[in-house]
Amino acid sequence: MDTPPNPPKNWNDLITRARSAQAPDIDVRHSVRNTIASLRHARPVPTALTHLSFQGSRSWLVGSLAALAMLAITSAYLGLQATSELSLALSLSSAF
Amino acid sequence: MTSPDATEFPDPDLPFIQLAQSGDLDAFDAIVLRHQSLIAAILHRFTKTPSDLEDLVQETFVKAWQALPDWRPDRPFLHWLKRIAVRTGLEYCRRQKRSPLAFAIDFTSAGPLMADEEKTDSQLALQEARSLLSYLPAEDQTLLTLLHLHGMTMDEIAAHFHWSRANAKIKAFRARHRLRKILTRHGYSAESA
Repeated sequence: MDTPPNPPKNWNDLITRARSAQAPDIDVRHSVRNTIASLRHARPVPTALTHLSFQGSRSWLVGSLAALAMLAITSAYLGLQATSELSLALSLSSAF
Repeated sequence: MTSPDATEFPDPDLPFIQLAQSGDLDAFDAIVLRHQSLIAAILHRFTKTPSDLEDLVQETFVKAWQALPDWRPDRPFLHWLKRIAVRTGLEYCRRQKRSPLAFAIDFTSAGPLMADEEKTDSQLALQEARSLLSYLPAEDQTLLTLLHLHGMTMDEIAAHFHWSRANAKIKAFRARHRLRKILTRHGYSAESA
């Protein structure tokens, strides 16, 4: 005698049974608290800006930077004067 | 969208939330205690293992803590928390798709802590349903998990995903169509989906 084929399974029956499955009891308070605490205490990765601002708190570095800036400004001014004189000389020489 | 209940009936979590927003971890502990069972019930239908479930519930509450400064009293806290849980479930589905071990876990019918004969009929049914849904793209899997396994309405699902109701219905229609093909391949009656 032939075995009758299995009837097709029914999705609605499956999900009706699945819906009654209970989630296990869990308590995540401890792990949540630990994770939040570790996020709070995580040290920020220092960037070039934070590193520079930290170094800038040292007086010798501030003075050095100020001197360097003055030198740069002075060089730029003198260079501008020299450029102006050179362009005047060139324009005068071309006139003749 | 402002819920009318938010103004008429103060959120019962409001005192704890306000303390937690100022950094009070004990107050946040109380929030976790009040809602972790509900969040676990939502995420239980996504996860394959108890350890995954714990991880997702923890992840949900950590995200909630980080987003707490953005919570406003005109939004019911529990709805806001459930949305975070659903997004966490969706991300879990996406990660499972990307994991090279996902196929191996499905093949061996993981619930590694319990043999099949130890599981109840409902647990086995949930395992089977999850396995079938896992063949879908992550978004479809999440949508149909909410629709079929949670019995959520289309309005609730649309709100979770920030879709219009019409868009949610279209996506659900397409997802169901894909699911029917999967069910047919696995010996299920296509009309039952």
